[in-house]
Amino acid sequence: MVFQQQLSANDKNSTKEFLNETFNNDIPKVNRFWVNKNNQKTIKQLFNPSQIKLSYRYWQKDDTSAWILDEIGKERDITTGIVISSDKIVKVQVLVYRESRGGQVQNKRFTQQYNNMSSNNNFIKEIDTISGATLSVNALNKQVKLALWLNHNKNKP
Amino acid sequence: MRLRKFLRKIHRWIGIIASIWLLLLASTGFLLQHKDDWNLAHKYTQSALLLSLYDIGQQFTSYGDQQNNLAQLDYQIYIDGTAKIKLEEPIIGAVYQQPNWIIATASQINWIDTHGQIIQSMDEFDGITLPIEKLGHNQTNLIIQNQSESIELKTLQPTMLTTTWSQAIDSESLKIQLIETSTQNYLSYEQLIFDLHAGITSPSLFNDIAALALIFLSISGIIIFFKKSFRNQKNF
Repeated sequence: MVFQQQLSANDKNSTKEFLNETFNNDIPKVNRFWVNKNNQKTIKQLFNPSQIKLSYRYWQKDDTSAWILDEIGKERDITTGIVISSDKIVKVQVLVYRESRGGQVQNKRFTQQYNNMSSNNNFIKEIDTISGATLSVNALNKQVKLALWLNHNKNKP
Repeated sequence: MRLRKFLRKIHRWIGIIASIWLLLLASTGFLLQHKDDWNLAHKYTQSALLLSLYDIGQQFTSYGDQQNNLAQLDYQIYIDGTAKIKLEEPIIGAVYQQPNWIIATASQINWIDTHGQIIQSMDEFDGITLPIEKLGHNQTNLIIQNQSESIELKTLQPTMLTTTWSQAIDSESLKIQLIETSTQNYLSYEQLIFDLHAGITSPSLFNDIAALALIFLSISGIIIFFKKSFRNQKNF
């Protein structure tokens, strides 16, 4: 059984803090990337996420966009905020970590590895894994790759 | 002499009260010593009374009909009787739009697919004014109601059209069925006895009284013992 949880009040605060930090306390209006059948197929083939949403929320100001995505590590959702600018990662931050093990992925030292990476990078080779947190690292890799893809395709019809 | 008599009287009565706690401690301790002999770790209780000690079944809501139903038992969401996801907040409305369920809590609206996964959420980040009080639908759209108005979810604009609000149904039989299903292997006798032994299931006031009673018994017992000894020595 999969244990998904909606955002609690505390989780929402961390999301708000993340967005405030990203957009200097001026959070833009939320946008949605609506997933059509073709996109659904592509997302499944490329990233095989634990779930494909009907739509993905993002916030955009100028060239910077922030995506908040969920992916299951082993049993529970990891909620991550990803900031992208010019198709390159600016920041990755784990907002809510619900798994009992593998919490090291929340560490800034780990998430900073993604900075400046783009979809051309080989995450499996270039991101140092953490022993005991392999599934959480895989989940984060999936989230970052998916965010880059969504960001690149968000304006396509 | 007066003090000893007074202490003896109180010592007796407090001894009776403390004996209940000591009896519980001794009998559960005895059972725990033999938990492997009686395989207590693999025997489970489904007694509603005992499960209520763990707050199971305290909150229950259900929506839908015989064919398509969604229920929330404590934090767990069940679709057609199968456990799917956990929600920390109570559901205040649910609408079935084939093949998905749309459920609302005071702070969020979630679309749940047939696999029980949240495939979309809407909340204050989308511009919804909280708290959400009702979820319903008109001919074309989903509608939510907050404290001041009814809003179309698609446009987030107020609506004046007639809305059918979702209503929770009272289904005691479904509640019992879900409690039975969800607790089949939930509470082992070993766990229950251990929790009784450790005082986890008993109210903290009971534990406090028992602890204070034992402290009193120890001190009063020492005083009574030595008072008597001194008097006996004097008599010699």
